[in-house]
Amino acid sequence: MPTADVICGPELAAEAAELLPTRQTLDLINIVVAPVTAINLAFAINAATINSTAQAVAAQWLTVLAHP
Amino acid sequence: MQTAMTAAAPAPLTRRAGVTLAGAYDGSGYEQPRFLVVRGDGQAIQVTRVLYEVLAALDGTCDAVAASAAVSSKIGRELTADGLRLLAEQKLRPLGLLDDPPGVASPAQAAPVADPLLRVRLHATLLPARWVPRLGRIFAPLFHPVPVVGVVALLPALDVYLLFHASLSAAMRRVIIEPADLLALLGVMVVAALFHETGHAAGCVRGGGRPGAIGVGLYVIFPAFYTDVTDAYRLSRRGRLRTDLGGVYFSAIAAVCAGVVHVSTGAPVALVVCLLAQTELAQQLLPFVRLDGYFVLGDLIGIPDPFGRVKPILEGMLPGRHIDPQISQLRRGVRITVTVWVLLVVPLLAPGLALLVWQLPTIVTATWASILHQWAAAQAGWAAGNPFAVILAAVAAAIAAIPAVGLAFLGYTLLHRAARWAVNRGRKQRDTTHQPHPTGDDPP
Repeated sequence: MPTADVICGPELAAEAAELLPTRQTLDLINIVVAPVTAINLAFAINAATINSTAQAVAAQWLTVLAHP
Repeated sequence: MQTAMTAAAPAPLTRRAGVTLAGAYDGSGYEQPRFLVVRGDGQAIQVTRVLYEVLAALDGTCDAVAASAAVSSKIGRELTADGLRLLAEQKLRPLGLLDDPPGVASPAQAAPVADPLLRVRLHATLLPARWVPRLGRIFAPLFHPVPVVGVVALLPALDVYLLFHASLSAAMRRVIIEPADLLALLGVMVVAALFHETGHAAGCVRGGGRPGAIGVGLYVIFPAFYTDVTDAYRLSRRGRLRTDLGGVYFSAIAAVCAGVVHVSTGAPVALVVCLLAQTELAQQLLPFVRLDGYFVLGDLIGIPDPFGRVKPILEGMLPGRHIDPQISQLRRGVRITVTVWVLLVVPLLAPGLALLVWQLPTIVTATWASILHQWAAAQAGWAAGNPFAVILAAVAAAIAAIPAVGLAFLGYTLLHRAARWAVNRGRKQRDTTHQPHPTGDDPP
């Protein structure tokens, strides 16, 4: 005859065990690789002419947004 | 297992060789204390007190009756021999904590191991486990209160000084423009990251633990250094927190050293390192993925694996569902804290993961284009007799491929889990359908 102090069925069912994951402390390596090739050429040719002017201007603004 | 339970003679119950009883889990968030058991393969298991005492009693020197008497005297309540057998067969044996019954040549299934979805994959060891404790012992004295207070006081003072006496924008421009400075910055940051990991190992050693390997792997789509500090589960809460915070403490040391170098020499790289080390320090304290802040949170509230509480908390919110004992047995303050954490972390991470999967075709296409581009660059370098160009192209291609590889692994894991869930569900339904009718006949 079970007494009040006997651990009963529901109590036995409530006994639990939990697998714990491997504890790995991380340090993320934030690497951003943005291969960019920018070519900027300007030619001004002034040949075989008299009193002439040649101008060449090349402007470039290059922006790279990268999210690691 | 059913066979073992229904056999004429009860199977002998003996704790498996190699299982370590590591004592109470210090600072547990549960209302009743939890205990720690470590299997021979290193798998840590948290158990309730009765299970722990049962495992302690099953040392092979006594039968179930004597073992149950020993457990009863320890816990102050009566555990019957049948109750002990039930716990042993249903709770302990499936976890590989007991010897196999006689006549069983090999277990039908390997002992289960924890396999969280978000963990480091494709890992490679950089420093083997036998060397890491030695490295930790070298740096453990840095946890003496004097250097700790010194670093904590010096870093903000240094920041204020640099704010008024150094030009970060000029240093950044210089580093970006000068390839040699950029390479030096990358090299120093890699060393600083490894120093951060050394901090965890040293903190673990300082608390009396034995850290495992330091390595590199892939965390979702990010390459990451890691230190295996699973042994920290055995430590006191103070020891675990020291292990958790050892990394950011060492990052603070790195930032102070870099700042002092910049003040002494004016080197722009040192100033950028000082900034980046502190940025990393702040990033590490976020509690949302398995960075240092996550472990700090878990140790503060006494839950070793908060991610393991996501599913039971969300299920408990569904109408008509009971609250899982994993949650209901927590102390009230802990239950509220972990619930708030779940309500924050799920909306933060779930859309991110969904977006990654959604963007998979774009990422794969861009990766392939990048690899082709690097292949062309490598061919051009080879034709020009420039081996550095070839190496650079190879490294660039490998780095470009990392996100796609990480996503492929994540996709494989998700599909594998879905398939396993479907198979298990089908098996359960089949077992339910084919259960013998009480009369002995199959149901119509």
